[in-house]
Amino acid sequence: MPPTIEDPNSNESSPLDNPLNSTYLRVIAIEIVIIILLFIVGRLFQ
Amino acid sequence: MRTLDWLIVAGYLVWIITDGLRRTKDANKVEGFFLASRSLPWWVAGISVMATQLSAITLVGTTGQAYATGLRFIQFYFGLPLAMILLSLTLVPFFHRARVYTAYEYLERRFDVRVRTLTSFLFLMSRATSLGVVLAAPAVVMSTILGWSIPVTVAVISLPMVFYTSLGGVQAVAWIDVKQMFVIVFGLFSAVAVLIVGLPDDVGIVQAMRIAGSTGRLAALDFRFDLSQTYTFWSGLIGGLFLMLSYFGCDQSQVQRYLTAKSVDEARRGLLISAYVKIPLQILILSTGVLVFVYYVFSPPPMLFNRIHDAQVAASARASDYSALQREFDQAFADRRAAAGAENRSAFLDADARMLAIRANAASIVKEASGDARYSDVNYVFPTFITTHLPMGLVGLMIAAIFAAAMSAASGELTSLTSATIIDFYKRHFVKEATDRHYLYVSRLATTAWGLFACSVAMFAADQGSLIEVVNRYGSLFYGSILGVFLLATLSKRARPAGAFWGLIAGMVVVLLVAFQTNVAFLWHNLIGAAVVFFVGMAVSITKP
Repeated sequence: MPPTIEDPNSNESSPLDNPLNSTYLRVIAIEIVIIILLFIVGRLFQ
Repeated sequence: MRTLDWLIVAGYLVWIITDGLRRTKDANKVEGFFLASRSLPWWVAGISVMATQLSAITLVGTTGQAYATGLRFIQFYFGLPLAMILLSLTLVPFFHRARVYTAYEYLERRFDVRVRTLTSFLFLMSRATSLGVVLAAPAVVMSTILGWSIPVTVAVISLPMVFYTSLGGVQAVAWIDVKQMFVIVFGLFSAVAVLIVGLPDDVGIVQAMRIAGSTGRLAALDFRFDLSQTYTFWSGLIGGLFLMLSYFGCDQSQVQRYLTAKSVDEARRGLLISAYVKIPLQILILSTGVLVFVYYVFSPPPMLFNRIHDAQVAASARASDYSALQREFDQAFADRRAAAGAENRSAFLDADARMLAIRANAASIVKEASGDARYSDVNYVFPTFITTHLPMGLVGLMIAAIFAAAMSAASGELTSLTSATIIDFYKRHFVKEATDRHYLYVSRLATTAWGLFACSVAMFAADQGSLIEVVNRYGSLFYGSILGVFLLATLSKRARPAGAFWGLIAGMVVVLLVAFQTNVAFLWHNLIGAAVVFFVGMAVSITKP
């Protein structure tokens, strides 16, 4: 972290600080499912 | 448009203005005007982020594009969910905890006032002109559809928006965005319902998909790695990632939305609404365009949707050629409809190709007769369908939805232009200490001035078709370089002010060269700009610490 930032709440941690939080994983999973569905629809109806 | 439709449009405008007036009392301090006193719930901040990004031309242009080419445009958004996650982990907590008003204010704390001022100036340059286009593009289409003049159409879209934005600030904008998104989504679902119900009794949704799929309109994915192709899986995922990082992370029109949230986590949750909803919403918009195509397989479409030059064509020497084309078009339509009913794929595709060729010939005649070399009718498909095929009441709702999309995008940009002007320039360089009342007064003046400037640009751009494309291209030159400065600020402890400043200059120069000297598609400009700023910035920082 750059040292020059004024950050009064920097000690407060949150589950969303974790890149592997289930919310983020869910976002990626939903995008993968949508891409797979688009692929299947494209193949089925060509 | 019948009386009920006009009443619905008028009712929508009155509703928006009175709601803007109601929010004025909450904007009596600078923090209230620019950041809604950092008090908005996550869902309001998140919906406002989405509404700012969804302009009228997205609604009208994307449906028209899907009518012509199908779902391919969806690939443009593949980088968005990943960008939202990266921003939630990096810039969102930085901005929120630094208690800044603008994204560029943070750059002064990290680097120096030069870097802040230059970046904010680049933002103002790109946004001021794009705001004019955001107003001009729907005004051109709606003026033709409704039979209004361009100045009247621009005024109907702009004046209520400037009014509630200048009085209520971001608080009014965000809450009105929520209502406008509701109008847009409700309107879209209603249109889809009408399209499905409007199919012949013996045509189900599966047959409709077969018809759309046979013309390639359901082939959304293109896995070719070709830098000259604008929309591929890879340009959307990689180039689009950098575009979305820059747009949502470094563009004041977006940053200002999530700075209004109560806490860092509320800001993150707000931003993640886009990660969940944006791609499905775009699929809904694109599917509407595809369904309009299927609808017109069974119901006669106009040969050309943009009828602005009809009188000139009728009075020209090519009038008889045009009439002959119309007869051929009608025959090709009858053949295509019969082939679709009989599920005869080759006959259907043959008739569809004939109709496409006839439309191209008709467009050539229009261009020749009118002298309008940039004539296009893609943006007119959906508004024409709305005004000629939707039932009474729904027409007014959809026209209100298009106005809502134009206003929500423009108001977000307008508040961001004002905040950058007042916070990064006026308060930083000219009047450093004054009362809230003074800053509110100049902020409202600045909002009105930017609004009037945007109206002027809109009226000028509406008459200069090529200018719209030039301005879009010009705006896309800035994003990657601005992102590069923020990457330097947040990813490296060793980055120094001189590195950030000269990196930014180098990034701009390289992107300009790539844009005007090569055929690399514009989504890749974002990656190139960010990379050049970052690496040149690091090199200068290390050699000149």
